Amino acid sequence: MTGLVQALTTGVLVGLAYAVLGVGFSLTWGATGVINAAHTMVAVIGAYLGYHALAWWGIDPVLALVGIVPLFFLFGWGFFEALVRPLKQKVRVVGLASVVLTLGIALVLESFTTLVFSANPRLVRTEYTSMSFVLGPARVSGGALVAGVISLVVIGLLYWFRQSTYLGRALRALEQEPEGAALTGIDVRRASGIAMGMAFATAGAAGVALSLIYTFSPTTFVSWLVFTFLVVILGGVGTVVGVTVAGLIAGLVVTVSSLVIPFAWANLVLFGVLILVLLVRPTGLARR
Amino acid sequence: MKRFKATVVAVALVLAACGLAEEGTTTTTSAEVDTPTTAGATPPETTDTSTGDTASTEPEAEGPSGDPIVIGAALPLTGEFADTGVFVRDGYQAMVEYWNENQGLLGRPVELIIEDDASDPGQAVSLLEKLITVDGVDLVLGGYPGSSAAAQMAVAEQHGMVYVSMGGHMASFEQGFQYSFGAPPLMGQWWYRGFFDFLETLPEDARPTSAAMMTANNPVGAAVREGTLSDLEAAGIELVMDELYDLPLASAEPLVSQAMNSGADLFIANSFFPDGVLTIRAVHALGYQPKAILEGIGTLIPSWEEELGDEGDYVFSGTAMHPDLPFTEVELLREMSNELYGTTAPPIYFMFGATWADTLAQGVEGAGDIDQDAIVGWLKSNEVCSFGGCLTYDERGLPEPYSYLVQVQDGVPQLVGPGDVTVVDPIYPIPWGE
Repeated sequence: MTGLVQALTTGVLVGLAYAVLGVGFSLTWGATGVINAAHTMVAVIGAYLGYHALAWWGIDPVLALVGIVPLFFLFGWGFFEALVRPLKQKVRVVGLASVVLTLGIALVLESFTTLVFSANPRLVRTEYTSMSFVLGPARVSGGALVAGVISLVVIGLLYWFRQSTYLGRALRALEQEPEGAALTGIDVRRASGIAMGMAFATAGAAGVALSLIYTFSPTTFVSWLVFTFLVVILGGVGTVVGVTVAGLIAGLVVTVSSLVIPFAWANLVLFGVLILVLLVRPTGLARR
Repeated sequence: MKRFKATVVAVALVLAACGLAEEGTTTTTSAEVDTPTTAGATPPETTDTSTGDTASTEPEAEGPSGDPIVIGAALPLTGEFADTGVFVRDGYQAMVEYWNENQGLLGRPVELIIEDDASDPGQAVSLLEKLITVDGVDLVLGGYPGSSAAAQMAVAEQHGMVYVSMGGHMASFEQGFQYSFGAPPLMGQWWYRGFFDFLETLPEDARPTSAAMMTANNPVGAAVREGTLSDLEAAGIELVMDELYDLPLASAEPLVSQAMNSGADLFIANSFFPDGVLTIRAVHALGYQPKAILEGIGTLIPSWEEELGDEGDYVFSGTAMHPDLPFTEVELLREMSNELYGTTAPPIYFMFGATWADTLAQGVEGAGDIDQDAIVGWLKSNEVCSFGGCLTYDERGLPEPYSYLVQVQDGVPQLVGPGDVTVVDPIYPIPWGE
């Protein structure tokens, strides 16, 4: 029983980490049609900024989010205006072109990050990351717990924004029918820029959250991108709830399945679940 | 305006690509050094091998002259393995500069060409082919990591070029190759031998009785696991958990939890840095308290102590190289390290690079020629003393099995065995809670 509770607790925390990385990616894919392969590279840069806020100025990475989130929002909006919008005006099918563009951007950012921060792997170490917390019969590290809280806050705020604000509803309209949204008076350009800005902001927050659990280096964006694709495909494009549920499923499959089968098979089970879901619900868990 | 923006982006991408390309090839030539003083391929005051190397020779006034000897290597200077690959490069470059500041090789200056394989074994092979067939290098040096080295060994063999490297664990040395040397090798199968030798020095009731092992599912992990299984059996330690995992590891908690529940008092994580860190953090978070922890590769990376701090303490690992090895030759590397990195503790992969280069140079000096067969013949029939100790090589190009034992103590990976090289005593069992 203790083992199961431990596996469930760990699975939820790992799942939230997957989910927070995926929600922004899913948001831009849904609202702008852009598959942003640089999304996790942005998260890695967020992790570096959090790390160096602590190393250079003694500012806790969580507090550093106060600066990182708005900065990344502006960066994302600028990214949309400078690169994505011109691309959308030139090509009919944005998806594939955006993958090529953003993968190139990710590689440039990776080289830049290596130049600035070196290739050495980093790990955020604060007082709470070294602590262990007892939650009933389960124990969790302080880093994973704080990362889980950050993830919940980010996902919760994004959900509230999309459900309860005019702009959020505008974004949802944009995802469902861009031309119809434009006809109803929604400023598509502005809404798309804001969507990209919000995605970058969540990526920055996700990077900080993940840096409390995982080591990172400039090349980490590749493995994070695999997780991101997994939960977005499983959860569905443009859905906060779907991606969050997918993240939790992925986390729980990895941790709980290892109670009954060899751990090496966990990924097999995970991708088996993905295939099954896609067979039954090709658009992902959350039907839009 | 749109066209302008697109042009800016295109130019930025091209510039970045050019930057990468420029980083791709590094050449160290004799022209970069202007103070040739000493003879020989190896440092002064080295262990006397009486084998014809010129290591003990005092500095002479004349520097290298004549056509340069060109050495080529392909290393991961970008990508996944760049963090350690650059240390190997630094080791090669430092030795070449040292030779050129002295008498070069065979009295000739040395030029080093290093290509960036971007951490891709496929590129490592192509680039070595290019160095040999297009650039026409006289000698080659080994690649990194084991996957690239193993792939390059076949290329070197095909072209009849001496190839000194870490190799790709035991399987790569059992291909019947004549020109490859592990000098020293990074041999997974021998990895924890120092630890099991240490256990034999303990009273029987103090030794661990059962072990739980988790292994990264790749060739390196498999090599370490293979040797560990034999060592555990020989030591009479029961293996109660033996799990494999794929990289990247999302969470180590399930595996550590399973190990803890198995009651094993020896925990073995055949892991790399990212998964090793996750594992050690999970050990602390879950309150698992085995008598000893063995960890694969992660502890050899400087980031282990820099980033993990005291959480990484007491972990044992193996190595074929350590900055505190009590050999006189290591002093030279300490000086080089101080100049390069501002620390007298040379990074381990810097030491590996320097040692592979030094071994090749001793072969060249011993053979008195750059004839590859003559170098092979000399290396296989003489004891070679370098920064990692004195080694003799068998037909496979391997020394006798050995491994130094390292334990992280107060954030420093200390050399704790075997007895004749021990700097500080190992701490066993782990003093949990103190």
